[in-house]
Amino acid sequence: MPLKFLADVYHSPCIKCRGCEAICRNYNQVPEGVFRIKVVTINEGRPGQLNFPLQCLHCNDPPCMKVCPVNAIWKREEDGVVLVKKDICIGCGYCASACPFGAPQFRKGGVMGLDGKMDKCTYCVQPYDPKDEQGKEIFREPKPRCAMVCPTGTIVAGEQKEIVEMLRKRAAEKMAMGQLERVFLFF
Amino acid sequence: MLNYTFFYGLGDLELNKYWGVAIATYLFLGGLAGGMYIAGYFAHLYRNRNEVLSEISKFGIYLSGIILILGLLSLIYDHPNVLIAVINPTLFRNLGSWLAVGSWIILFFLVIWFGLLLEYFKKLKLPERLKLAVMSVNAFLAFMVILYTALLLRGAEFVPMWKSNALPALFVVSGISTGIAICTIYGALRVKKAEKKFKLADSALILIEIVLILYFISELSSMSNLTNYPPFSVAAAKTLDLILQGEYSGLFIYGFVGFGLIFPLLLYALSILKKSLVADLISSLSVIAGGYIFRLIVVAAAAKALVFP
Repeated sequence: MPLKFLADVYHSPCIKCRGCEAICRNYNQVPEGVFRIKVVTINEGRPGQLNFPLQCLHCNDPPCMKVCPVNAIWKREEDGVVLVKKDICIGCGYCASACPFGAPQFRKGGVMGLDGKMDKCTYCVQPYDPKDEQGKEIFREPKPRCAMVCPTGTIVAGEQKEIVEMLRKRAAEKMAMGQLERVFLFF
Repeated sequence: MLNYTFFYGLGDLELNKYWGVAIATYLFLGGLAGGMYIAGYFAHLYRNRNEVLSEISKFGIYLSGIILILGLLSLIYDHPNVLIAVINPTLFRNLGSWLAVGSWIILFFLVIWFGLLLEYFKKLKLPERLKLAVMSVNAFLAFMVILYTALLLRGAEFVPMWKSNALPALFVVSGISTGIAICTIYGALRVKKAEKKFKLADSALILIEIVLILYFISELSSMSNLTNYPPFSVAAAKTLDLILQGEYSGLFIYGFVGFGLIFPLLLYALSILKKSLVADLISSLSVIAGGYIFRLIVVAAAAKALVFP
């Protein structure tokens, strides 16, 4: 069953505590300047202001994977987690243009300001450096820390069917109370 | 020092911060190189004893590769690790990606171009008919190079401006137009004469570009009214606002449409009615500047318009 993230901004608004960013950075040893998850604010200072945690949603049909010229992006069959082969990635940035959520990240540094390797949320399966001291690839359990620490329950993670159902129920409750007009769910 | 890479953001969200001026330059030089080759190829076909066409054909065919290499250098300057794949093109395995397909097209174009260059410098002997066949194949590849620069952007499906159906046609017409313009400049400087056929062709291409721009705007406008995917329509409306009223409106209306299309069209018309080498030179230069401004806007405005609920 495919694993997914959803941000339930309508029922449980994000308060921008940035706990998700902190735990992600800590657990995955993500360097400065790279955000595997980032809390963004849209319509800041205007009606409809909304905080939103953004990370790779592990799409069913990832546009980043389609455009990667060297096949560095792949999707695990067993759980649908989208991962990057960093030793193959050439850092062309095409995935960053194809992804509508700004998930692909490139660290600033190295030759001429780019280290050339794409990094993104791995559903906590792989840390920033995906190889251990012996050079063997690390694969951990898919338990996203951001969803575990989110105090408002905005970040919902789990199997696609279950979390979509949960969000539908929450939205229906809100709509019944007249607090919500419409909901967009996207993958 | 010039910051060659743009950094964009809406609120505190930065999207597409990895493609900026360098990529726009790469797209522009790719289009220019393809256009130069095509202009040179047609000049070669119709040269007969025409001195201007003869000079233009040499310039267009044999310098197009250098322009394309300059474009690649711009890409490598911005994304140095791409050099690994440029050295070893077999890494480009995903033929569903336009970047990979385009890289192969560029590679084949450059290999044939280099063969033609060797033939020009008498290091390689080719029978005339075979040479023409090779040149024709490369003219097709040159066309594909220009088309690739637009289809590369089209791969990013969630950017309304890049998803536009008019964009590939616009890039192709603009690429050929800038190619003709640079050949006209060379011919005018070298032989002190501008080729009338080229001026007419460039004027026709500019007219087509104007029509395509109107279609492009109407397309963005209809995208902004889509109801089945609101985030996309919001981004389309934002793009339209950016190029018609917002940050890039001056660059788009006065820089591209005014200086890059209408101004050279008027000058070409003037020089066709009354021969003027200066008018030809200025109009060709403004066509080239307009082409570059257009690529800059396409990369910059798209990056500022987010697909986001």
